[in-house]
Amino acid sequence: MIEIRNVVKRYFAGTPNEITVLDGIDLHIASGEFVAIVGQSGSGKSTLMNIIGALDQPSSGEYELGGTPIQRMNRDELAQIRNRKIGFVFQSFNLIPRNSALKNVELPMVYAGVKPAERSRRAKELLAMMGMDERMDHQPNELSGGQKQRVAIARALANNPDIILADEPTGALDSKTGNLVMEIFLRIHREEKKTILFITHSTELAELCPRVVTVKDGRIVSDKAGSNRGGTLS
Amino acid sequence: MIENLLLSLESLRANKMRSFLTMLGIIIGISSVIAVISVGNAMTSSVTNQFAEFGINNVSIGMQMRAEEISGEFSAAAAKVPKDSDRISNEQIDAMLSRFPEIETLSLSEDAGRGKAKLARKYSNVSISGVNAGYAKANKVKMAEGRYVSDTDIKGTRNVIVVSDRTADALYGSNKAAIGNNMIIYTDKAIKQFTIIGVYQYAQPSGMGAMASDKDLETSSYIPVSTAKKDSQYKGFTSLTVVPRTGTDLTVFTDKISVYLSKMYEKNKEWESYAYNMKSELESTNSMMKTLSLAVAAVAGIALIVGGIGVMNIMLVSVTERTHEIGVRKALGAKDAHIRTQFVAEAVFLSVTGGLIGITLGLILGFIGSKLMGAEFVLSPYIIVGTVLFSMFIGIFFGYYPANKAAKLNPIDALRYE
Ligand SMILES: Nc1ncnc2c1ncn2[C@@H]1O[C@H](COP(=O)(O)OP(=O)(O)OP(=O)(O)O)[C@@H](O)[C@H]1O
Ligand SMILES: [Mg+2]
Repeated sequence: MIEIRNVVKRYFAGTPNEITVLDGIDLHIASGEFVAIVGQSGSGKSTLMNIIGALDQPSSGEYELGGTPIQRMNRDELAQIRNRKIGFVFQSFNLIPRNSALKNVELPMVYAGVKPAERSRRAKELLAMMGMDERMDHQPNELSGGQKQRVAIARALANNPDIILADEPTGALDSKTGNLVMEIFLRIHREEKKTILFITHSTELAELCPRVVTVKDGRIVSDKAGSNRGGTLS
Repeated sequence: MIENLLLSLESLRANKMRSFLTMLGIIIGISSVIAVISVGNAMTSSVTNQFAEFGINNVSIGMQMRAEEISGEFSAAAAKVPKDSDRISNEQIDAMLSRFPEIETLSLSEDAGRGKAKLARKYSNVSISGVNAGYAKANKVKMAEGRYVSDTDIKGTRNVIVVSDRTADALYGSNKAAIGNNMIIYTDKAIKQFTIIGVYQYAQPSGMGAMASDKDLETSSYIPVSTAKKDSQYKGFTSLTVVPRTGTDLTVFTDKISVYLSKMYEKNKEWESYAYNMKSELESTNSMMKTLSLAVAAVAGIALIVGGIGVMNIMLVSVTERTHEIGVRKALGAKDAHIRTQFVAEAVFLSVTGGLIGITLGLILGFIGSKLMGAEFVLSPYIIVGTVLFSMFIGIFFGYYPANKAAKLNPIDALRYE
């Protein structure tokens, strides 16, 4: 599914300030895997995830998504990939302000050109799945952190993408709510068979994932199975 | 597209004051254009109507005091009364008629005072004019009953009169009943008596409104010019109107007659002749109106450009403010075109809303302006549609650059923007 070979990401290339954020990453993720990415702050986790999510391009190296090289795509094709193949979940939720939960979930489908009736039906279904059907007319500022993140997850699932990319989705939540959100990801993995990449600073949560990749100074320093292979929270 | 419009609506609602201030330039520009155009239209049409009443093809000729005479005198009010030898005589009129075969009708009129026509306790205010048969044609007098003043009436210096239907109605109850009656008119100086031979349809001058109450309205009544002259010490005329045959070039004809008359008055030190036609008057009024409209339109155009720049400025601010949101939208799969349309739609919405407010305001101003000038207000759908399209164009033109800037943002840079 995800094939990354010798990916390097540099900033300020060719200047004295040049920094290498990703330094020759090789990563292979098969369809249906649930991978936790851990590592110190500034190690390059988000940078790697943004490249996987077609939001950013590597300075060198190759990246294939489902067999298609991403480097050769134009802006519209990349937008299409982000729209159909990938669902993003962010630490800071990133819901569109002044738009109801329902509108937020509908948005990826608006960009995909889904008809309004079908869009609203699917959005309601997803919100119900997240237990947010009672709150679908609420605007983001009327929701709690956990509720916002559930709306965001529903939005990530809108166009039924193959991959869910979650950058510290529990980072802004207390541990109880965080566990609840983690439950949802595990459920999505189990029931919807999505490929999930999950950045976290919590070793506890990482241990729940079948596979844990550790990044340090832009390199992958360890890639091993988590202790809990069952994929449920106790 | 509709989606995008709704999206833009939401962000504008969130910044009501800012949106309104941005629209102000457009509101001012559009409303002044609309106001000026509608007042201009109203004036042009009322002027046209008024000239049409006078008879657009008529050529007015006459005599006036020489300009140097007026300025030479210590006061223009000390205007002299022309002596009979200075006036245009009957012989001169005949000479002119034979000299200019293109004259179809010649209209004479001689003021014969004003007064009250009375019958028992009923009355009607009248002004009396001595006229010839040509007057009716030149001034488009429409008969309702009986006949107009004829050449025979003039030759015979008959005491006959043609009155308005208002007068006929006030005194005798109907047009028919009026004919044949002896009508008595009390003027300042005398009591005059005429036999009614005809009744004409009174036409209210346009743009005047009802100045006197209906009952007291003064209407013209016409008597033979010779009858009027009988009481006057002067036999000649100071002014008359000629109507050339259809097909005559009005300007050329007016010039010719003007030259002819100038020769006639060449040796007169106090008086000179004039000849002009309404058509050239109308044309010069129209062209003056056009120049005026153009000048105001230019000012309004500048206001619109300033308004457009205001829209552009606010859109640039909005794009910067919402850079992070744009990043999120891109992460969700928005193509460049989606973002661009969203922001152009927002700019168009701003400018069209401004345009609509401007149209409303402009029409109100135009309405008030037209009423103040006593002209009829004309609402032109073309102007409204044109203005809406124009404000849409402003939105697209000035919104495109900021929208494109937003669309071209790099997804990750936009998303990371704080
Ligand atoms: N646009 C950029 N310009 C310059 N440096 C950047 C840019 N984006 C990221 N970096 C640098 O790249 C490094 C890795 O950043 P990244 O966000 O990937 O870290 P991270 O592992 O996600 O950290 P955290 O756990 O704190 O989120 C950091 O040192 C950061 O300063
Ligand atoms: Mg990060």
